[in-house]
Amino acid sequence: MIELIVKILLISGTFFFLGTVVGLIRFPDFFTRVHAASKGDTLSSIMLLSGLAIYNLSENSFDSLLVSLKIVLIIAFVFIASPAAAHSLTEAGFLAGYRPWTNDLVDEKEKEEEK
Amino acid sequence: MFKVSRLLVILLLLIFGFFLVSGIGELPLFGNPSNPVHKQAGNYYLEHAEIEMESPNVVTAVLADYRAVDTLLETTVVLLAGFAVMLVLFSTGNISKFEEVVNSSYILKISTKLLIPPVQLFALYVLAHGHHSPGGGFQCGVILGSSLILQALVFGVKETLNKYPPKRIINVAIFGVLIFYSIGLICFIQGGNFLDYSQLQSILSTTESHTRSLGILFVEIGVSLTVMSVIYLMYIFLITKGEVNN
Repeated sequence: MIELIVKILLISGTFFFLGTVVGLIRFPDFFTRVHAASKGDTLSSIMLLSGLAIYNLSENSFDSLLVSLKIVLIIAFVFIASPAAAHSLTEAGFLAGYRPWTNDLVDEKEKEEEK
Repeated sequence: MFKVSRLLVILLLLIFGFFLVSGIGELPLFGNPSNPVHKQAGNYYLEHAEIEMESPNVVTAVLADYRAVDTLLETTVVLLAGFAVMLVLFSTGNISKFEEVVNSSYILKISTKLLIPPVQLFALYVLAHGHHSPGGGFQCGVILGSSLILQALVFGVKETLNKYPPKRIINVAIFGVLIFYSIGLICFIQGGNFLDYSQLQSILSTTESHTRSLGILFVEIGVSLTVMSVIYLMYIFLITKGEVNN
């Protein structure tokens, strides 16, 4: 039972990491890329780490409990730090003059239709 | 005149380079078990570190006890490097007044406030647990210093300077080195060698191995204080270009 949970967590964690990478490369502008990187990164690392913590508990000893507790602390740290970092990154980008991407093709078509 | 001095420098570099390169042939082969490194003190350290100072982490034992004088001078070098950075940045005569724009958002401030206490607690854990797991004074100092730099980044340098004035932080840096030297001197006065922690036994009244373990801890506290303050001071002086109200 524990192994099944761990497998699901690890596989979905790697899947979301893959999504992060695809988003980081394929998205059109700075803001969407940071969005993909921070959200996917946070979720997938939390999934991977909690999978590791649960797997580590299957040994049933005090030492493994301590290690799992440390992993949970890392999860808490990532959960606070990663979104805050992404937030400050996007804010800095906005202040530096980047503007969110708009679909220019659609806009041009609409303008042509208006004409 | 300029060309002559440049030629002289090139000549000197060539001579030193020749000596360095000619020494390569004399070096022992990489990974050879009969190298001098593997035949002398190393084995003694590995076998005796845990018995003599209750420290399963041999690196800490070698760093702070067997080779304590090395670490002592290293800490002094860290302090002097910090002083050098301060002196260089002070002497530039840059008159442009330091102005900063702090536009940290509410989210950033709250999350920093949440993060800094655990970071500092973790630094103390790294310091106190250095005997059993990777860690020690230098790492603790770096983590503490980065927590101070994080405050300076988020809340602005001026507010941080009010909280931690450079004058006081310089004193902390000197105090850290002073702890190290004074522990060495106490051992000396008690009748042993300089930095021979087992001489503290009559003061601490525990077993000899535990005394040495505690001696390592005291010394590491001094190291971490110095490293923390030097890192913080270097950041402050670089970011303000030496425009600190002293």
